Amino acid sequence: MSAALRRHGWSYLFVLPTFSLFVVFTLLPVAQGLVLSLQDARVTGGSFIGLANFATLADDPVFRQALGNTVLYATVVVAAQVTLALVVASLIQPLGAKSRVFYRALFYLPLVNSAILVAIVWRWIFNPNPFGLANATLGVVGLGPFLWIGSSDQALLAVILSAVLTIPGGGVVLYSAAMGSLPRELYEAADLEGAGPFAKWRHITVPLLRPTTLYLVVVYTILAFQIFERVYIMTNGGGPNNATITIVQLIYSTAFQFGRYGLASAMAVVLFVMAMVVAIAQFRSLRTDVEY
Amino acid sequence: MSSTRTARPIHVLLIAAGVLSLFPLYWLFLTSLSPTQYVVRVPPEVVPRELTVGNYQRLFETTPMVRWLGNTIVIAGVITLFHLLFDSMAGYAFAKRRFPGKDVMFWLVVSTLTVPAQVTLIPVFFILRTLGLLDTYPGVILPGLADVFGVFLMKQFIQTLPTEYEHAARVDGASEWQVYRHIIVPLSRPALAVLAIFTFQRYWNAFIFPLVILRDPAKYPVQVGLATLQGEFNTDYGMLMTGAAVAALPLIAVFFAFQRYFIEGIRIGGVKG
Amino acid sequence: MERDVIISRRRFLGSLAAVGVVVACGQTAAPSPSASGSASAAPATAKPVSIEWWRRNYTPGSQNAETVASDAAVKGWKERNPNFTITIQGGPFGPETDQKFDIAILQQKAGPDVFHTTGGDVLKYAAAGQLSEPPLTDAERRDFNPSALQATTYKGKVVAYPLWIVPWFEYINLDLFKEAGVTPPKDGNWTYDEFFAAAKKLTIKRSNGKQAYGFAHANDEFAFMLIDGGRPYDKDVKTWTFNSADAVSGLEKWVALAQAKVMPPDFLTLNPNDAQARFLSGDIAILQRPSAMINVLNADKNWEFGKNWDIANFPRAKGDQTAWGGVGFIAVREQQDADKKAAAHQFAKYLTGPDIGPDLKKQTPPVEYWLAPAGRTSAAGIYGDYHPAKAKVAKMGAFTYVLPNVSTWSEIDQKYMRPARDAALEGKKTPKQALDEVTPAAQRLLDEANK
Repeated sequence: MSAALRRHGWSYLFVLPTFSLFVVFTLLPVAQGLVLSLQDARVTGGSFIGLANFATLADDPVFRQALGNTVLYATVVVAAQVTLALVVASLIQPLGAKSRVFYRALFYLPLVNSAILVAIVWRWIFNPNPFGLANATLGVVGLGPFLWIGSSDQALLAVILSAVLTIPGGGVVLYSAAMGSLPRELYEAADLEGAGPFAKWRHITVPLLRPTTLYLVVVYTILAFQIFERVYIMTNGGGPNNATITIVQLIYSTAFQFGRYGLASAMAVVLFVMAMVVAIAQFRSLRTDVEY
Repeated sequence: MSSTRTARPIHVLLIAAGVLSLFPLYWLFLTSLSPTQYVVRVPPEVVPRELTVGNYQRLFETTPMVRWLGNTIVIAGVITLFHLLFDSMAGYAFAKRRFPGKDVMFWLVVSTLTVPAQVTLIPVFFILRTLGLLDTYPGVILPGLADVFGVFLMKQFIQTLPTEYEHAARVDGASEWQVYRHIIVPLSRPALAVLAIFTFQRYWNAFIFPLVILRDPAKYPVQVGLATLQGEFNTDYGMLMTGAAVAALPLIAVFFAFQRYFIEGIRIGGVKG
Repeated sequence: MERDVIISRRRFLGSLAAVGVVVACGQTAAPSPSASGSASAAPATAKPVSIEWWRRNYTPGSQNAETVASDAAVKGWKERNPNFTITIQGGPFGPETDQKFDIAILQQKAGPDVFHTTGGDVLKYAAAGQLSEPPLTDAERRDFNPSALQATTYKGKVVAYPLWIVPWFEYINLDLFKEAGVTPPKDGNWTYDEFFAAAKKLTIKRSNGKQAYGFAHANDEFAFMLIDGGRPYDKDVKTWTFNSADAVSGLEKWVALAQAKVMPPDFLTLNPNDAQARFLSGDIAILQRPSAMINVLNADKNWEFGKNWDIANFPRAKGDQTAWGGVGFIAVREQQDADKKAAAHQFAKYLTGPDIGPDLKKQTPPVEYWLAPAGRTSAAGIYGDYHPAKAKVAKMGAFTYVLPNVSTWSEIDQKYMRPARDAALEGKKTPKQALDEVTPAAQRLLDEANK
């Protein structure tokens, strides 16, 4: 043990500050959440009921709807956002230094808005009234009017579109930062071999960015799984006939409004397992063995 | 590779996309500068009828906005500083070093990212009560330091750094701390800049934790303070939008302050430890 | 339905919400001896006492109605009882603050001496043994609105003081009525058929080119299901009855409005703020909202009561005249400190009693304490004095249906009733089918609440 400590002492020291805080303020609460998920806990406490909460969830059509909506939203939105971020960052990268700063700012600045405010604007864009921007725009080419958020058939589509049509500024900035620190030698070598810009992008940039891509895919998936406020605001809660209800929204109302902390924790456990499975799959498929 | 001819359509495309994305921000500032009677309109007005700074005056005269901003700068600033240090240290260890338990620890970190705040809120509240930190700044800051997005971010970035520098430094007799301090930190500047921007923004907008943990309104961060402008029976939207606009400005400043640490390509062998 | 006010709040800058604390009450003028001998005027005790009052949506320094009224209430009480020190702690009207209050009251077993609460929270706190029973005389009991008193009864005991009853009714745009050639309902009374015909005629392209809709509501009540006499529960609140023939025919009348397209196309996601904004923009002829919107219209210089807006009762059909209503309460927390508890009860009685309205009206500037009609007869008069529209609202208390307090209502409402209603309004299910389908779940939650 002491030999291991001597050999790895520095490693543990580097990890220690974060990890100790993490244990107290994240791991412990999460463990308590796990315990709660096995109880019929309300705000005043509860008793152990085994896996009954999970059985309740399996039977609950509202939860199944929320699960389906969340998965569909996450799948489409994550794919679109990561691709968009990579493409936009790649388009920016070869431009001059001033242009790069300008575009990074242009795409990052919308993020200083509260998510709520952005959702309000999207609510207006996909309003089924003639003043809704989407209908007004599509009307010019003779399409619509569509009901969008006003209908249980189109509300989720409107929410997904709102996310897909937004440039993911955080991803652009992160990719952009990562691209800047790729070693120049590889590009110079490729130049000597006469590789074109697309070939260099495809065979050098994209593979080298894999760790960043992995980060973005995992984090965007987690964020997409936690989608709540955008839906809540765009469709006034769960939307017509719960068409846009999501898991975290259900966790929120189950815990805060219905006071069922046990059941809400069980939902969080389901979400947690889903995200874990997806994260493991993503780590596998984007494994990096790049060495210089 | 970027001749003007190929660049022009790219510029057009990027600017069009950017302008669309910026629309909510434009609308926010426009609303904050509009007289109250135009604020609550469906549909919202895109072109101003008249502009006024009346909302700004009322905001600063009738609310402790300056105090709220100051509180938030302290809270978000301290959290960001600690994250820059701790996350780069942990990220380095996870990215470049081998040690027993590393995988387990890393997976714990990644897996807990998925847990929504709604679930941890009550347990955290009781832990803070046990520690006697309710209604204190440390009570708001410490849980903020436990979030591990930054560790993951730094790990992924540091992983892309070439190992040659570290080897060279060790050969030159650098200590482990020196390797971290003089090789990893300088090379990670772009990622640290991103981390600072993201973290500051995350805690600048923190709402539910400070709300539940703090009781003394003199300690409120800006988002909690702004929320107090909303009523059950009436809400002053002009003030609310103005507050949101003012609250957005420091984030813009932080972005510009840190984005200049983005660099444009490193050279292997260009630096010596 | 008060929960929906939350949603309206959230929808704007929802993630912002909050709390305020202040050591309330500046220096007051020399104490004036309590002149009124009414039941709620507490005798001025000599011993100084200090209590904490939690009032959701209280924000020190802000001009919102709750803050102004709360500060004035403390001032009014201090003038009668100078030995009292009252500290107000606030919080926005939203689930985050409910959460904060819950944690403080239920888990910490500490917190306010007296607090403002609504709906199911009263029962939650009562079930946890956290509420101190109001010492009401028989005369006081008779003075309170019976349905409001029922809403605050837990296991046969009244556990909090009803504060006010908030009715939902119709706001009408008189300009639009004129433009469409529709006569406004006489004295605010109309049958469903008259209402329906009016809504149809009022759905027009306005002279300014804008489309106007006859009717809108904000998805936060089920008034139409009451219209033919349907009620969510039976008298003992043991059986779910919102799938009765009367409830079904009520929903059918609601669906008829949707099918006639007299409501704007986004009516299924219309939230209170947007609904009000659309009314203010002249796009809606009849809007169903609670009493708080009177102040919104009053504050808007484009709107003048009696000239271009008025209020009318909820329409009447097979059942008696009714309206959907919600209740607010003042509760006193159970605690060891008998002096504080007694003081809290005195103050709670004042907050819900007949003296506070006149006291605050006498202040300079005068303050309107009653943001909604009072929950007891002796305090009801003054609300009507504030505004002619409020005088009309004050009369609605007699027939307003106050939802009995069921601790699981918000779950029944959000998880089951709203989707059922939406499915019917969208035409995906018949009203009967939709209401029958959710009955087992609603009954199960009702049973759970009665356990």
